[in-house]
Amino acid sequence: MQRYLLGRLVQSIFTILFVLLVVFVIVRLKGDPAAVMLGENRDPETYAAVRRSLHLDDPIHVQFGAFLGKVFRGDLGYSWYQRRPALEVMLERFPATLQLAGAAFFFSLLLAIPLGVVAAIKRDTIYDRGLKIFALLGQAMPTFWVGLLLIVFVAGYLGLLPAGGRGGPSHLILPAIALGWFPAAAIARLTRSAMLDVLDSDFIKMARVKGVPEQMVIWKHAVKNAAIPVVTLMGLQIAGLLSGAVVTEQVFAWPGVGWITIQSIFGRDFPVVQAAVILLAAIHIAANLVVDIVYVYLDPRVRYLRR
Amino acid sequence: MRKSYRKMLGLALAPTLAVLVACGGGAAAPTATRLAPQPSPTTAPRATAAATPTSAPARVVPTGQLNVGMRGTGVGLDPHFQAQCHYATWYTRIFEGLTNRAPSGKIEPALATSWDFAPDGKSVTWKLRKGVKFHNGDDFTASDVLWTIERGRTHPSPYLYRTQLDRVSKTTAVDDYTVRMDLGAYFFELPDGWMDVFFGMVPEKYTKSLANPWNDLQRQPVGTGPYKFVELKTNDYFTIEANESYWGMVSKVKTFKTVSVPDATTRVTMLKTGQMDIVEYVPPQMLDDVKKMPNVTLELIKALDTLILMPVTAQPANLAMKDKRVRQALWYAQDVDTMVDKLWRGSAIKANDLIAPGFVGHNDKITPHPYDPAKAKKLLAEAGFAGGLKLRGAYSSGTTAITDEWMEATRLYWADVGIDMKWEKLEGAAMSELTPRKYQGYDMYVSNSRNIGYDPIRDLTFWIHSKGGQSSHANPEWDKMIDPISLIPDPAARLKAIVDAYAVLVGEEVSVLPVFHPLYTVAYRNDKIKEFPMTQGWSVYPRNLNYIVPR
Amino acid sequence: MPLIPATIIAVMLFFAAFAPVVAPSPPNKGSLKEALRPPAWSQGGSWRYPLGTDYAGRDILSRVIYGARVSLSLAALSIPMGVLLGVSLGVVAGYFGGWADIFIMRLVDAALSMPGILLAMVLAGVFGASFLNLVIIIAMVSWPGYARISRGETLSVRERDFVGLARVAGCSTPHILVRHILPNIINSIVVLATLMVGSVILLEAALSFLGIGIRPPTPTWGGMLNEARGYITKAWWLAVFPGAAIAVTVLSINLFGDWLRDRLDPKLRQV
Repeated sequence: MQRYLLGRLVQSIFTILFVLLVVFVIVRLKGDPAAVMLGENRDPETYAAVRRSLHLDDPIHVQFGAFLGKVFRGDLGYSWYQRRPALEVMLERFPATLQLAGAAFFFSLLLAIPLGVVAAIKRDTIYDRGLKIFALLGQAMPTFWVGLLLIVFVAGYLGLLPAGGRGGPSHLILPAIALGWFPAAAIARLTRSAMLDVLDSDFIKMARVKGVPEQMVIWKHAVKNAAIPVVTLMGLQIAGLLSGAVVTEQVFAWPGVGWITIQSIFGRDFPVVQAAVILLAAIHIAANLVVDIVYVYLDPRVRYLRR
Repeated sequence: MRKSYRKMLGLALAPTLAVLVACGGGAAAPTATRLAPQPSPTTAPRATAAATPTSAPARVVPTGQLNVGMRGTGVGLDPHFQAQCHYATWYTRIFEGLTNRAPSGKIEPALATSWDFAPDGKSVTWKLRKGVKFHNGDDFTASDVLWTIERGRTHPSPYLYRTQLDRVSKTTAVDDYTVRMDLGAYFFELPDGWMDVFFGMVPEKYTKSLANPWNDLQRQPVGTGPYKFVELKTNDYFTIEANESYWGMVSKVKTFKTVSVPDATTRVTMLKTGQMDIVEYVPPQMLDDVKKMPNVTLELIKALDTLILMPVTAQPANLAMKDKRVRQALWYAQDVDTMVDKLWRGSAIKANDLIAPGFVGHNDKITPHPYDPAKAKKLLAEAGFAGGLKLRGAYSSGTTAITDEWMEATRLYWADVGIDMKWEKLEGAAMSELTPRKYQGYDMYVSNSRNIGYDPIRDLTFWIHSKGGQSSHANPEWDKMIDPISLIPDPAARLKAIVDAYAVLVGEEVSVLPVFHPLYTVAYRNDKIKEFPMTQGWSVYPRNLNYIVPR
Repeated sequence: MPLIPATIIAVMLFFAAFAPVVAPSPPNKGSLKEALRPPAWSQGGSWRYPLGTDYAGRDILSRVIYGARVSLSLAALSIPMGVLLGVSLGVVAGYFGGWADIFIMRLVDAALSMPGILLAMVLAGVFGASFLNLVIIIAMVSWPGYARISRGETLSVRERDFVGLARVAGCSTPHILVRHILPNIINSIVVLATLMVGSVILLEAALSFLGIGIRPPTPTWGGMLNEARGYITKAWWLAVFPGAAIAVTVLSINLFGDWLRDRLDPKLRQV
């Protein structure tokens, strides 16, 4: 098992390096940052000075080496427009995104687990079909469309909740639903199938034979055992939620990482774009790693399944 | 918004040609007064504010807080490092220039109480206001003026107004409250050029004491202005507080919290719920909603913006655009009235000239070409394009709230007369990369002309002269029309020459195709604000905060 | 065969192929005077514009029909590209093993660890989102999935007798890969590719919605939703119909893909 964990760790580091390389290449492939900074009225001397200060004239591998060194010191570059560290810019926005992703996650759990459990218990009934439709819709509707519809009907037509912006808890409801539906669909489906597996197992049958009340059988024994794969999927969904928030933020004018990333893409503030990609990819990779480790400890069998 | 910054930048940097003016060197601002705006025509949607900041103020204790919802907060408040024009204007509440523009549009004394030009026009002597203190308690003296100029000159950032500074060859402190500037050549917009928007005065001692004198002022600004800086959280909010020991009119509101709400729908909703007291840029689609809101007043203020289509004639390949008849056809082929009605919902005025009505240099004699597709077709046929014409244009989405809609409507109108218009939406940076190449590869680009300086020759040069900062033209005949104007000594004759030139270059030649003057839309809670007089002609309303009377 | 989803897919394909015939009006024609007309059945609507008009007076129905063209042709081009890249690498990794396997699979793991939508956003933002660029971007984002599946399948097929026999019979490696390995892994690939169509449509829609997709006035579903944003309180039909087109199409494709998986490749059920 140690070998496996070590392997996973090395693999994660390799992945991070790969992400950094991709980011580095993309950002430098297009656009001369010095030209963007100085605009149309640049004089050649200032232009050369700015290029020098940004080390744009060094050989590319030297630039990459310097880039890696900086990244590992926590220096993700300097926002060209905001004139402060790009990481600071991202971290400042991060709580908003985290809050949105967290609320969406909470919403999806609140919805998905009961739905999945009920669908498993009442297999092949109208509840089960209902879940299937809910899950299929969740995976077919773009989150931003769900968001727009919620704004049209709940905020606009009914006037119940704010249409966007960050504020009190009421501001969180609509974006959380829009963002949470997609993972809820996946989690509900998995909960259902995991529950079906467990309900079919011997120890549940045994419990029933022993006369344990049905409610207890289901909510204590079955759900607990069905939780392992579900927890795993949830871990993976958190990372997915964070990048999904990038789009949802645009719909609800949510001032998070996604919003600043889009702004920076449009404004070609590449250090900030770079910081966004690195930050989100790092979370993605870390979440994957943690999930794998937890998984192995919870249930040594599963790593063979996952491979 | 970055785009409009570019415009502003360009405006200020537009080469002003040598001006030979017989200057008497009177004590009063000789040029500012003579170029003061004409009485505005009655088309102005709203009366001009009457208050002036210098009128002796009764001491009031500022109270309360107002929340302002803006499109963004900008990134910093250093007058020498400004990357975004619109938000940049917020530093003008903290820093002041030597002169100021009154709500009437006149240039009035600010940190300087008077200015004298030498008889040869080669130098100007400023008398500084005594007893003015920076927010940190330092006295404002001549050495701060010298330092501001020095810093503006050497600041590593692309400082907006550097070339303007370069026209001052030497600055000397005659004494603590007298500064003399030696000018390479007399340039007559000087007092305008020294107002807060261009040259906010920076405290020497304080700035030098900062760990990084270039950067740190951005986030810890200290000036002499009517408001003190409290806090800035980039792209989130930013707070200023009334400077109670201000030498001029003290704000009646203690605190302004400016919150960045980039999404217009959200901004307006927040006004409705009372989270915001003032919001700017109500998009046309939402005007009706805002009008229906209880306790909300909507103001449509005439601004100095002109949305223009710029034909690119400087490129040899653009044969069609070089033809006057084609340019005229483009004008005839678009139904501006319907666009004002359906797209702007009344929040814009149909334009006839590059300079908005009510501003110096505006020529109301230019008749906007009416919507006449038949005539457009005829002109195109005469120019040899009866069989159709393919054009490529560039625009930047930040120009207005409904630029996409406007461009699509224009495309549809032109399609009706056989023009296949392909618009490309570029981000601000990509757009400004095109400027020095004179928009190579495009037949047209879209822009916002913001006549921020009061000298209309600047705009004439800037957009039309082959050397102009945003010009997409290289037409020697047009240059020949513009060049001599700046040499006319008599101001009235000069202004007339400018207005006449616009009549030919815009009305006839269509070197610029003016389409709309968008109105600046501000809505505020009238249960919190009793009076909110707004300066006509400034779409940058931080300047108006001083005049707010809260309930 | 699931009848309703198959029919919907067929209709969408028909729309995409024969948009100029099916659409009641040209997608990029309109008049401001007809702007923001509600759907035909609402008050103020007209059957000239069955689903209403947008801010520029363009017919929504026609634009939705043309939008199918963009979404489906994008999928039709980008998926084979991703498949080609992913399957070649996957088969090579699976068949040869060793360093090639390690290197390719580490690359696959790394690529799978990157948030796809963010990567696509950055690529589209930096390189511009022409149709061709989008095809490439989507292929770049999707290939690792195919690589992983085809490697796994190749690993199991490689050990089967007929591959060994072919090797003994002196068949060249390319011959074995193309004639023996590929036909045996193709089912899984087809299923995965079908399910990917939905993801491609969603990704394209998201990019267009963010304003970094295919440029207007080309009608795309995501782009129409982006244009609808300023008008959602005034004209619900701008936001509802293009989104419904996306949802219905993706739903049908997913259902069809599920069915195909059950038929062709029951093993994949776990995925």
